[in-house]
Amino acid sequence: MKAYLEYAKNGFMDNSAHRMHVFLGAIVNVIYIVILFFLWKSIYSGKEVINGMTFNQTMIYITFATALFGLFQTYVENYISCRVIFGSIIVDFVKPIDFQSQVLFRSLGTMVFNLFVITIPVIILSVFVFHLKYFVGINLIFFAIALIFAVLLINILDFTVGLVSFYTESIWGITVIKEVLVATMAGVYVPLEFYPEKVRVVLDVLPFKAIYHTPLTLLVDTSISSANMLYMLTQQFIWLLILFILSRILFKRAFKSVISNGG
Amino acid sequence: MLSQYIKVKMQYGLDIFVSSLAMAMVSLSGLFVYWIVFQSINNLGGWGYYDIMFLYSLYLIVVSPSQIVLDNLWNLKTHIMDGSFIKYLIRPINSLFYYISEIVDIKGFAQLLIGGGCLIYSITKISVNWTLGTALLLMFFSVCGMFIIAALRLLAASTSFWIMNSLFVNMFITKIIDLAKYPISIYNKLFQILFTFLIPIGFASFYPAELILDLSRFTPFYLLAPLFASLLIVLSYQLWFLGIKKYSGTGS
Repeated sequence: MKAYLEYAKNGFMDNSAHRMHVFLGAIVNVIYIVILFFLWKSIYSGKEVINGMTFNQTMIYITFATALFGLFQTYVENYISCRVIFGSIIVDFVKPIDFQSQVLFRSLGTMVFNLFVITIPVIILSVFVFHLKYFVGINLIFFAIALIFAVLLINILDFTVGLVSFYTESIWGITVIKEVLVATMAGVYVPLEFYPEKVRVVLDVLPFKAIYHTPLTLLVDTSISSANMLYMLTQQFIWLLILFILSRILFKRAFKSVISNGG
Repeated sequence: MLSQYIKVKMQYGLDIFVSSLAMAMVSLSGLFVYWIVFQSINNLGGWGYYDIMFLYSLYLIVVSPSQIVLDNLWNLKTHIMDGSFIKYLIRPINSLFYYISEIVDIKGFAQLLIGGGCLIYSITKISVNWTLGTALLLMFFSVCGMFIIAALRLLAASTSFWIMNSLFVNMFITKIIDLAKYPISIYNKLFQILFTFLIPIGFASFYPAELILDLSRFTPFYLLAPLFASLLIVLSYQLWFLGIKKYSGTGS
């Protein structure tokens, strides 16, 4: 366990090395969320409820979506790509800890860093400046579990996309494409409730919404029954299993390609 | 020289393709968000969907030249720190020109293309009486906007000569420039003033779009765009050479 925590510590330290980064990063996020506040206020002007969501609900959704988006930025693809290009990936493979676990714990460390710089300032802002009212109830427990699943899901997805760097050095474009697809299909910029019915039908059978929309819905929508909440968590968990197995298979293949190159 | 450069880059055909695709998707996703929102509303602070599209495409067009031409500024920090920057100073040509001409970012053209396409599409939908004058006005303001964005980027990058880790200043300004795609009129007074006078990204896309959509609202206020553009160009150009001077000083 101690070895795993070392990876988390590394992930944290890598980021906190630059105080300027921390400061400017926090400022930019606060400005961005304020801009979104004005944007949504303008969208809601003269309307109480849009697509079944009040301004309060939508703003909590958007605030948290932005906060989580920041939280999940752990640059896994970049990390793997660098290790592959410089060859240090071989050292990682020799270690007694599985490579995917190394990546996961490093990311968790980075997320702790992001939590203080991005997530917490944004949430504080939402309570004290925007005066958003959170619903405190059983849904918060479900939200917490869904959030843990979401963290694992995004990490597995990042890891799987990062495996592309075993085959090519051009990882920038692939990472950006992943970011755009996840953000639009998981409902980061706009709640999925706003999407046209035809689009939603497609998005419902894709895993992306389990990363953002499921936890955020649990946070915002109090009308969901406990049974329904359990169903949403189960759905998330099934996606977690499927993606995890997929990532293992792809990892095994990528692993072999490195060995053969090295041999 | 440019064609040679493109040839070299084309060896990485796949990389160019994927990066350009990524850039195009980022550009389109911004519009997609507006499209989704406009499913539920019909105007945003008095702006219709196609007005917003006009604003957004103007933003893309104004931002893309910096993306294409100034991409090497992201490497400035590394070049200064490892000392390789000296090579830009020993040739008898303008060091800024030499430095930025080293990289032409091809994926920026994807952004420009999407911007151009959306602009033409939105122009056919918005109710603007197009005359030669309006078109020239649009072009004039676009050029001003391009220079405002470029100058802001250059200002941010030039801090590398003084600050050890200027990467974050560059990221900061990049994210601020990103905000030029929103209609400034929906902000409160504080933020309107901030983005009009302090970091004048409002003059890059919002105010020009506002003016073109309704020429009757013209006041001398809009002429601040060329004023800010020239001011920022002079300022950023001076800062660059001030930085160069400082660099030579420590280098010897």
